[in-house]
Amino acid sequence: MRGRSKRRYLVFKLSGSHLNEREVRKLIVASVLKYYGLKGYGDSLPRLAYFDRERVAGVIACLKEGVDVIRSSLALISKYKGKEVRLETLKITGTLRKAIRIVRSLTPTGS
Amino acid sequence: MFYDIGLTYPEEDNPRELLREAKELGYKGIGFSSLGYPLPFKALIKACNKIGLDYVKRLDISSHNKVVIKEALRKYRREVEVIVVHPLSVEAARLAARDSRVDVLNFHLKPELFEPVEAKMMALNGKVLEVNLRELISNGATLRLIHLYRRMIYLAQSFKVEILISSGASKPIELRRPRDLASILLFLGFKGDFRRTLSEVPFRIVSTNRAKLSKRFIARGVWLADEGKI
Repeated sequence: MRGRSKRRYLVFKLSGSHLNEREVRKLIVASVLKYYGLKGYGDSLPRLAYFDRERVAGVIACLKEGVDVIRSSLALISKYKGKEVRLETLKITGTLRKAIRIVRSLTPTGS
Repeated sequence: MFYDIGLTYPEEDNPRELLREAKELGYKGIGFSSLGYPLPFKALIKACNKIGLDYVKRLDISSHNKVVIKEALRKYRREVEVIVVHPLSVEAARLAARDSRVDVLNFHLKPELFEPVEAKMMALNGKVLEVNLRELISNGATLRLIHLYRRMIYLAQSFKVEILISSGASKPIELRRPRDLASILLFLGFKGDFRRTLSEVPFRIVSTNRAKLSKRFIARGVWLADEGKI
C-alpha cells in the first residue's frame, strides 16, 4: 500500500501534579510500552506534538489505528514518582491545527 | 448517557468534590458501593440533585451463606434500585446467578468463583458481571491483576454475559472520563463496543428497576395500564 498512514491528534489534559514537557513525554511512552509493549508502540507511534505549560494540556499525534491504545494507556496512568496524576483525553481531531486551537481555548491553570 | 454505579464512598465522609468531578467529566448518574457500611441515601440524593446528577441506590450483599443472601434480598429488594451480590462460596454464587432479584454479580472478592458453569448460568438468567477497575487504576497494573481481569472478561464474552464497568473511585483524581474508562477494556481483551458497558447496560438495569419500584408494577409481567382511573 502506498502513501502515508492517517494520523489522529489526541487533545489531553493533565490533572493532579504539575509535570513539565519532558516528564509528560516520558510518562506517555512508558505507559504505552508498559501496557502494550513494543508492538503496541509500533502500531500507534505516539508523539507529543504540542504541550502548553500554562494550561497543562497538550496534543499527542498517533496513527489512526492506535487511538484506542493511546487512550487506554493514558487512562491507566495514575502516578508519577509517587505523585497522583491523571491524563484525560478531551478530544480527538484529524488535524494538528484544530487540536492546538482546542488546547488554546482551555482556561490556563498556571504552573 | 454514562453511569458509574460502583464508586467507593470517600473515607473523609464528604463526597461533594467527587460528585462535582463526576458531573464535570460527563457522567449522568453515579452510585456508591455499600460494601461494609451503610450509606446516607437521603443526603446523597440531595447532594446529587443539587449538582444535577442522577443518584442510583445500590445495595451490595456479600456472604458465603445463601440463607443470608436470600434474607437480604427479601428485605431490601423493594427499597433499592440495584442489587449487587459478591459471592464468597459456590453455593452463594449459584443462588445469585439464578435469583431474579439479583441484578449484578461481582467476583472481585473471590475471582475463582467465576468459572464456565457460573458464567453459563449468569448468561441464561440475564445477570450482569461487574468489573471494578479500582485496583487497576489506583494501584497500577501487576501481572496477576491483569491476568485476573483478562480471564474474567474472556469468560464473560465467551458465554455472552453482559459486562458493566465501574471505576471504584473514592477521590476525584481517581475518576476517569467515561470513554477513557471504557477504553481500558480494550487493554483487557474486550471485543466489541466497549462504550456500552458504561452507558446502555447500567441505564437498562436502573430504568427497569425504577419501573418495577413504581406504583404501576403489580407483579412480574403485570403492570397497571392506567393511573387507576376507571
